[in-house]
Amino acid sequence: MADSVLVIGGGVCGIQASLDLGDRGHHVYLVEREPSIGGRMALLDKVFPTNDCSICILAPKMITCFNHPNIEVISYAELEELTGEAGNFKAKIRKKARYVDEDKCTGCGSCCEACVLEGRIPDECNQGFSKRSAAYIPFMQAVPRVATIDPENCLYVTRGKCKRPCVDACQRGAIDLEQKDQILTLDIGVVIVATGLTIYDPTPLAEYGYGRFDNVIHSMEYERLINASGPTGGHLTRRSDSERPKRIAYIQCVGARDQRSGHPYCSSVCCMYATKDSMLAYIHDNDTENFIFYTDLRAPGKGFDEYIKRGEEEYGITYIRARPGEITQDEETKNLRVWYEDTTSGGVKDLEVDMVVLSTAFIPRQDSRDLAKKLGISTDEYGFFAASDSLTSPVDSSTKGIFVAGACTSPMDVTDSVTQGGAAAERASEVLSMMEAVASP
Amino acid sequence: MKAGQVVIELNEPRIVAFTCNWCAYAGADYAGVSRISYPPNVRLIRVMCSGRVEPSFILRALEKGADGVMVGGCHEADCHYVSGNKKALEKVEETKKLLDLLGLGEERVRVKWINANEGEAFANEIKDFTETLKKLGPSPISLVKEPKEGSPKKDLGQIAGETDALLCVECGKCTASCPVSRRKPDFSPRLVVEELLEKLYPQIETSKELWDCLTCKTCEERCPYGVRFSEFVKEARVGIKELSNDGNPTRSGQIFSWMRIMSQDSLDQKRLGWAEGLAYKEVSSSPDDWLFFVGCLPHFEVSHSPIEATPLSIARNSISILNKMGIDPVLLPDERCCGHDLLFAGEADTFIKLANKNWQAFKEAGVKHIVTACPEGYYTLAREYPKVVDGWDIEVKHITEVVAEALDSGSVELDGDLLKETKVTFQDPCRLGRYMGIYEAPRKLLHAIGADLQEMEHYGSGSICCGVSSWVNCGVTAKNIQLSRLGEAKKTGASVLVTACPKCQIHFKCALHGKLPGDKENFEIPIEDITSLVARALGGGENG
Ligand SMILES: Cc1cc2nc3c(=O)[nH]c(=O)nc-3n(C[C@H](O)[C@H](O)[C@H](O)COP(=O)(O)OP(=O)(O)OC[C@H]3O[C@@H](n4cnc5c(N)ncnc54)[C@H](O)[C@@H]3O)c2cc1C
Ligand code: SF4
Ligand code: SF4
Ligand code: SF4
Ligand code: SF4
Ligand code: SF4
Repeated sequence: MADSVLVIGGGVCGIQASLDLGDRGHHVYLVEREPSIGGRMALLDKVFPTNDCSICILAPKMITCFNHPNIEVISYAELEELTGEAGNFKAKIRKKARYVDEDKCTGCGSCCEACVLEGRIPDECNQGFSKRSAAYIPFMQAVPRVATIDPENCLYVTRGKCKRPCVDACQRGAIDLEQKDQILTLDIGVVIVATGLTIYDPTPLAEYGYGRFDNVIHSMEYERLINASGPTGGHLTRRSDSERPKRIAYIQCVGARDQRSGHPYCSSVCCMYATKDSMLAYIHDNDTENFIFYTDLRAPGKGFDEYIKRGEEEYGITYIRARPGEITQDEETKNLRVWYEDTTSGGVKDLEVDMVVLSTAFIPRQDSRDLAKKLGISTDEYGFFAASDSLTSPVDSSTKGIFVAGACTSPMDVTDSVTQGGAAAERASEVLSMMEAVASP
Repeated sequence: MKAGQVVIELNEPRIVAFTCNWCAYAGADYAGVSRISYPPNVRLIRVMCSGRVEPSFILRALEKGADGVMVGGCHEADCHYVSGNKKALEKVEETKKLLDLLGLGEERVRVKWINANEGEAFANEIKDFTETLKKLGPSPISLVKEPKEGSPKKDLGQIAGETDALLCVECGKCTASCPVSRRKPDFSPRLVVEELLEKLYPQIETSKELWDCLTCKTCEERCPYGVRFSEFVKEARVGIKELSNDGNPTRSGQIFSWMRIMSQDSLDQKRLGWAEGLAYKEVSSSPDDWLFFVGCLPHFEVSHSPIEATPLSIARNSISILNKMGIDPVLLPDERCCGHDLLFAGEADTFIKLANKNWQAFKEAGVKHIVTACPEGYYTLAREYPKVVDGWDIEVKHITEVVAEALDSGSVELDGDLLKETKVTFQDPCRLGRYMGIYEAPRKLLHAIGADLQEMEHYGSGSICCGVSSWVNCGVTAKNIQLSRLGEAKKTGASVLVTACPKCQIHFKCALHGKLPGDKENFEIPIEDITSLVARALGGGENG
């Protein structure tokens, strides 16, 4: 019987699950698709309800996880196939070629600077607000802190044509442009899936002008703009003229609680993070005026209502109960006009602002159904992984020995993701010891 | 008996005479006091001036059972309002043209100038008219029935359920999207539903708001809960109409009258005069044949000539396009109105009658494919007919789709230099766009003729309606919508506003014909239907 745990997804939830299991003496493989673990939380500035610095909380966990004697972090890797059954799974993992020897690389960054494509490739971590090289380290606190050469853009990898200054720049001889994908076959006892969420691209809601108007952005873009380690060094600026927006409107439930875009459920986190975002803008510059257009303010949780109240009283946030119908743009100033019905006093009104932030829906990752198929677990109608019984076994999947946790099961905040990560670790450990007891009486 | 209803038991012609207060009515009165006898077939309706008699009055009289209508006024220079009688003459001429199209014959309407002391002349005219009508025989439409009172109508609660209005969370996105609410602050789609559901029928009787909606579907396009408000309105209007709340129909209901008349059995319509010289046929000879559904264009041509709209050129250009594509379409000599406007104005039963008449005619002509240049007809045939006729199996397309498909397959080529470097802008018709989801086909055609398409601020699914729908409630709000739309078109710098719907064209031209606020330059832009451009790019066609 195999007693290792496979954790898929190295966001805060997967990290927590791995740490809990590792501390209990279980051997864990943490498989992360991206070059670094950390997930969504690594990219956020502050987190509600404490407004603590997100990466400051997460980074120590990331490092502990990486250095943990019982945890093997396999980054830049994906599950190819899972066969067998609880206690005797075989997992085939594709460890993608990153063209850098992880053991030799010190993360000095010389190759990134030397790369002929420096400043040419939109940086996904920064939502495209900045450009990176083909050789890159995704963000400063990345774990593992090693370079990755992006096979989709690197001139040598794609066309075999490049003078390869990156290779010369690396004093450690870590770059290996001939590296190949590796297939690892692992014996696994139980699996935890913690692949997290993604956000809805609001372009199809044409009335809000996302993609058409420079100063309409979505909340993830906002998180990067206000983040001190983001593309603007934490200076919130408008795309159109790099000026600081003084009046900001946040539109809630964009593509969420919305039958037409296929997400009738509530994303449960955005009312809170829009309040957080408004507070941050105010903390940066206290002449900023923030307007939150909400359908219903959903702040269910201890201290959450108080958080909203503080937003109103201490940070001067104006909450307006309306889902705006349209945003129009002033051709010259690129300011935006938000058209809404004042549902409390009646009548169509409009509000001119410098920037609009769309609080866009949390949706399952596009590949969640494929992954579910590989794992033999079921999803709900939207593509979130389904629990076998959401009331009594919220982290058990439909298949024995596979657990699901965090935002890949339903929209949830960091606290809940961590709680679920812990719960999944607990269940995994329980099932492992039960099976062990049966195997060696 | 309802007021205004003419009931004559004898098998005699029934005449309604609209007579002016100052001359003709006084003349009739004089005949009476002088004891000059005249046939009892006439019922007099006194109006202050003959110029007040609209075509709608005459049509309404015919619809209600009159066999003939006379308009009596003062002699030429005697009009007490200077030129009312001249206007009367023009309106009667217009009516005659409409009657001609309907095949009712213009002899059923006449004008007579009669002085206050011309009792004899009045009596003679009535005698003569009675004789003429006897010879003509009873009007084929003398049996037009009013919608049955108490005919099955849906309960508002049921309508709200069926249109998902009960899912509304009162977020106001509909109101904030609605072109009417933007200009008429007391109108809010969500509140219309809410208030109607609260108060039910006492409210519906007075609900003007139900007529304010353009059924443009913008709110529906955006409502997060999929509330189908325009459908709610369409259904709820059936009930409201029965309570005689009719939403101020355009031209006091003239258009609805001839639409209702068109639902009659024994008409002998003469509606194909415009197609002379074009290649078409009246019966299908192969299952691949296309029928061109003309719609109300011949009638619109008559009633909208004062604003220089030329709806018939849309029909002619469409035929010319089809001919150039090697298609000789089928045209039906007895085609009826598609019924769209009646359906959306609460006369569902007349709509069903029209739909079934057309369905019968389509079957008899043996067609399986229909093309139309009118988005409303397109939507109605494609989406509403299958709901009310048995066994609908006909494919329906808009002319822009047919040409766009031919372009794709390479079976037709358009002159790519026709509008080389010309900036144009395009009005998405509600029925073509939001109702049928066709946005690309017309744009593809514009591109193919070399036009430089400049989109308006609102375009595609966010496009704004031309301001009036189903011929109701054309008022200040409608004008404001039209002007702001023309303003948007103008701002693009385009030299022509391309339309793809006869009504869009009519409504914009109408707005341009009225008083324009401030500088005309902000609004005035030539308007041309897409069929005219395409026909020209195929080496045929006429401006229109
Ligand atoms: C704009 C925004 C602001 C937010 N603000 C706050 C806040 O202030 N406070 C708060 O509590 N919460 C906030 N959240 C929510 C918070 O980000 C989530 O609750 C949390 O990140 C969920 O953690 P997770 O580990 O479940 O998922 P994620 O953080 O999404 O991590 C999932 C990980 O799995 C990896 N992965 C995905 N698919 C695969 C695969 N097939 N194979 C291997 N690896 C895979 C991903 O690369 C990622 O690293 C915010 C979210 C957003 C979008
Ligand atoms: S091979 Fe060329 S393109 Fe690729 S990482 Fe090195 S320098 Fe950049
Ligand atoms: S690959 Fe070499 S140059 Fe690049 S970060 Fe690693 S050690 Fe530095
Ligand atoms: S949390 Fe708030 S903004 Fe997000 S979907 Fe729910 S109600 Fe809408
Ligand atoms: S947009 Fe839809 S849910 Fe919102 S108020 Fe209007 S009808 Fe109701
Ligand atoms: S259908 Fe159009 S006019 Fe009617 S309420 Fe909706 S948006 Fe307004």
